[in-house]
Amino acid sequence: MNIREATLDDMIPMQNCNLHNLPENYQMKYYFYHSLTWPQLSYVAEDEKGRIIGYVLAKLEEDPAAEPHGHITSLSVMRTYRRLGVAEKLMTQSQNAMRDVFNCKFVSLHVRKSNRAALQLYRDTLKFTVQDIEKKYYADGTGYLELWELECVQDVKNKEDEMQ
Amino acid sequence: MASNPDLEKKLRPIYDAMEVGNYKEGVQLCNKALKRQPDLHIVKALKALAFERSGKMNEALALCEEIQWAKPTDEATLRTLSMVLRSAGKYEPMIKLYENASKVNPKNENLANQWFMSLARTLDFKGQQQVALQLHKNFKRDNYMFWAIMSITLQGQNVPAGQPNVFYSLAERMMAKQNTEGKVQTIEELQLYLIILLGQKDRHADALALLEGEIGIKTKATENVELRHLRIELLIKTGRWKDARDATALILKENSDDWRTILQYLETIFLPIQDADLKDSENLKEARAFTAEQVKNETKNPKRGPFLAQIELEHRVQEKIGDNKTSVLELLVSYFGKFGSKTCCFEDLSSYISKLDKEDAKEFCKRLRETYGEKSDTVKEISMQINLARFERFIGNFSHLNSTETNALVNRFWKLYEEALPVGKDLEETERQYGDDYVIMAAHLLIDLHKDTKSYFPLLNATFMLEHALSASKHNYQMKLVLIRVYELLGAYNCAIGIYNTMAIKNVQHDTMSHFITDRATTFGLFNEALTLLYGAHDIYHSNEAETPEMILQAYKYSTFSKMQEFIEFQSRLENSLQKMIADREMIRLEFLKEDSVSRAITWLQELEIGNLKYDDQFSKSRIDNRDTSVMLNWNPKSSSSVELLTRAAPQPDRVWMTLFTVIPRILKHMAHLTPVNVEYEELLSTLSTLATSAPSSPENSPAVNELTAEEIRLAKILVPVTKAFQTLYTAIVAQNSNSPAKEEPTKTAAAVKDFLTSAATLLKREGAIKSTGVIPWQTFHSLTTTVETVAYLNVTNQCLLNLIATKANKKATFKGVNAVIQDFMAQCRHALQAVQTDITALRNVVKPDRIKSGLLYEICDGSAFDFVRSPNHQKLIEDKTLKIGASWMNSLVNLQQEAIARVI
Repeated sequence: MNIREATLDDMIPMQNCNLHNLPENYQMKYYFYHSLTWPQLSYVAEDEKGRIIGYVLAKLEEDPAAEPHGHITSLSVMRTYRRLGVAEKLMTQSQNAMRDVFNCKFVSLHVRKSNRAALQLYRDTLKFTVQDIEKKYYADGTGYLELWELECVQDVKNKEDEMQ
Repeated sequence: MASNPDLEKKLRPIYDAMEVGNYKEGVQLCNKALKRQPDLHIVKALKALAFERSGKMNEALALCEEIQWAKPTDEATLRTLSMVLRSAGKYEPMIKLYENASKVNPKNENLANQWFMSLARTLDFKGQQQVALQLHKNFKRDNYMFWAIMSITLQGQNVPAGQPNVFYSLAERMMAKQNTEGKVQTIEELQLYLIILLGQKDRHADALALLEGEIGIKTKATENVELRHLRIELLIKTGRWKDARDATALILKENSDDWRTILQYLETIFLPIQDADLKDSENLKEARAFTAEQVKNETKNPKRGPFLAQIELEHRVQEKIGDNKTSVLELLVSYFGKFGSKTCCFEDLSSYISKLDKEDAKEFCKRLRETYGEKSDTVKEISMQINLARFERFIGNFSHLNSTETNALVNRFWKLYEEALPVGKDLEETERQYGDDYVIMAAHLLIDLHKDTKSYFPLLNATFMLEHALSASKHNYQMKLVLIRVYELLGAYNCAIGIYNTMAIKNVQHDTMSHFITDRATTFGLFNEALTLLYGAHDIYHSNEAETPEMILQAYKYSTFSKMQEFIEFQSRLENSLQKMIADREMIRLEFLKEDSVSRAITWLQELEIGNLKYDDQFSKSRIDNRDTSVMLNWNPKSSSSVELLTRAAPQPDRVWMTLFTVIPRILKHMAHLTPVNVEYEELLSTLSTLATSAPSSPENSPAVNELTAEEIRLAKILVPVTKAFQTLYTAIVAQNSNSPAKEEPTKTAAAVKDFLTSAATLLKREGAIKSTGVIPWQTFHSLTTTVETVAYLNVTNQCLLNLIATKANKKATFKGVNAVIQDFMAQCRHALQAVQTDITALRNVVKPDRIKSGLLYEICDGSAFDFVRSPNHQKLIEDKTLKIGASWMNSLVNLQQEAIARVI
């Protein structure tokens, strides 16, 4: 498996990686925006044949009032490649860049309360803590889905911790 | 917003109205303001914007043109104008306007910036270069110099490889100067420098020096994953084997899973020595020791990397010097022992298994079967058993089975699927059941059986199983893809659409995935449904046109030089997409067919824009195929076709297909205008003739030898003589009118036209009525629809021939004979449609719900060999789905019959 920086060309297989239904429906320009503004923060994982098996899309949170921190916009691993630590590696890579390039102190993400699998990954495996809970609405074509969403945060490890 | 407070007061209400989307009021307010001050450009521009936003593009563009003439120079007007023109895809006018404005206000940095950006939108690299240099001269910012260098580099990329590249040399000189002055500071600027160096031949050492030098250190280049990778690549290319090996080993000790670094490590082992010296070399010893050490370090939760590295190493040794088969086989078997329960195990090993001898491959599966038996109680065991089944399928254990063997295997897989269900009872709705792939494999076996026996019953049974399994795994898109294909083979388009719509295909997937549902969508006779899908998918190309250029501008703003090429390439991939053109031609077919009266069809053709209707070699070759055909699961042996190929109802449309459906509307359009026969017409005719003489593919050929079906070739064959008839008649009329000595006897003209039309009529007659076996497959619809489509074209060509005599001949009576010939042919066309109607009426009787129940459904269930079908629990589903398929057939038939009736003239 490889972890490498995401390129625009990856967008096509990245989308196919996402073929399963998700209420989020990111526009193309949203991917573009990430790739352009923070090219160092978004990564893809490839299998041995060079096919995309997962990706993390991340950005810098531009809130001048808060401490510099990163935000995970989207994390996805193809079903066939689950339980191999792919998500963890993608996150680590992105977080290292958040720390080294942008001096981030922590990283946040949103996860739906009903998404138990994701919650388990973030909370138990990646050690995120739940900071906040709020109601969000997603357009799903027929109307609005009402979902509870959790905001999770985690401190970005500094280099010394990582060595240990 | 304008800075003048008076003006601002005037504009405020307009902006307010626009902001809340009240464009009608916006237009009214603009009109009011313009009454007092007719030349206020900004108000005109806002009015244009209001028009554009409310969908009145023509009005908007007319206003824009008015404003352009006045050459406005204020930023607000230009910005507003630019928004309107951009949404119309018109980029050129803004270049001139910003150039002018910038020259009038040379001190205005923003205007000059906009001038640069307007050039960047059209990818005018040379113009960009000049403006960037001017910006640098006037405003002295370093980033403008990098814009200029980037613009020069982009020009360099268009120089064909192998030719001297002055652009790169110039860019390099400018970059070197920036570097000496200490102005290359960021990682993106370093990236630009590297692009320039590596774009030239044999500059690996220089690029490496840069990376390892002062800027490399300053920008922490080697902490960047990509640049670190690049450095090792360059170390290998420059033969610094030891440095490269040390660097890769260091990375692998930290992350043993990093496959591309494993490959680089192996390069440092194999590249420096000849194959002959490999066997006893230090390098090989070192590599074996290193990989063994890496493997040893994996204890708890082992990573796959080191084990795959060992396999790759020994596999390469086998490829290079042989005599290593046993070690490879042993490693493969032991890898399965470690990772056999991971779903990716098949993907990991399949490429190695495919290179084994047949006996070794059998041995591999035999040993696994002996070791792991049939035990499948836990998630891990189920997953391992599925992997084993995949490998057994892959090495050909399930190939060439007869019906009885297939049925038994399908029953076995269904049983395994059902036994796995309780294990997954707590899975979330978004997850898949653990045994889903058993159902997919059963479907693959049934597809094989359909191919072998030509019976459609295996496909019907496959749809029932897949539909049933889908209700327990709502989001399993792999099942959905197989279902879509099988429904299409079964001619049940409504069912295929129903499944496709649950896949939530979005964004760029419209380019890569929509072919599953839009290829030859006309076939099913459901023109409106097909058009809805095609237009829905086409939106992606509009958003690419509108959005991607803006992103390229952003890349300049952020100085993200490393992404610039990526954006330009991405834009081009979508802009020149083959799928885009294939879908476009399908839409033209459908739009034409929606005009069911001849006169409306002719008007439609006259209004058809041919700007995009290209088919020349250069155009065809520069199409880019983004269609994803690898996404469908496939465990078929290498020696047989993939599931994706086997489930195609017809050969995949490509450039030849695109050419046929470009040439047809163009010929018809030519006739519709009664344009004199010219070189262009001759070219169209010659292209059509070539297509008409190509050999058809039979469904057995795979891959297909011709991407056109027999019906499509027949369509071309029919249109060739008709195209010639128009040509002959036109020439004869011109000669008669001018009383030229070359003029023919009218009877001779009539005889020539008759010959042409008779040969078309002969081809039009289909042999025998269509027989229904209870199922109305794709092929039947294709045959019926193509006949209706052909007559729809012939109705137009006949009318054009009549119009030719009526409007172009001075003495119409001279061509009475030709007229009679055309009338005769029109009668033949009517007959062809009547035959279609008779067929459809017969088919409609068979697919009535009560007939489906007593006929098809009975046949499916009576004495079925499938446990699934026999189970009382599934009777309701089987009945529902069979009726749904029947309803879809009925829907297609009813529509098609209406289309046929409408064309009887």
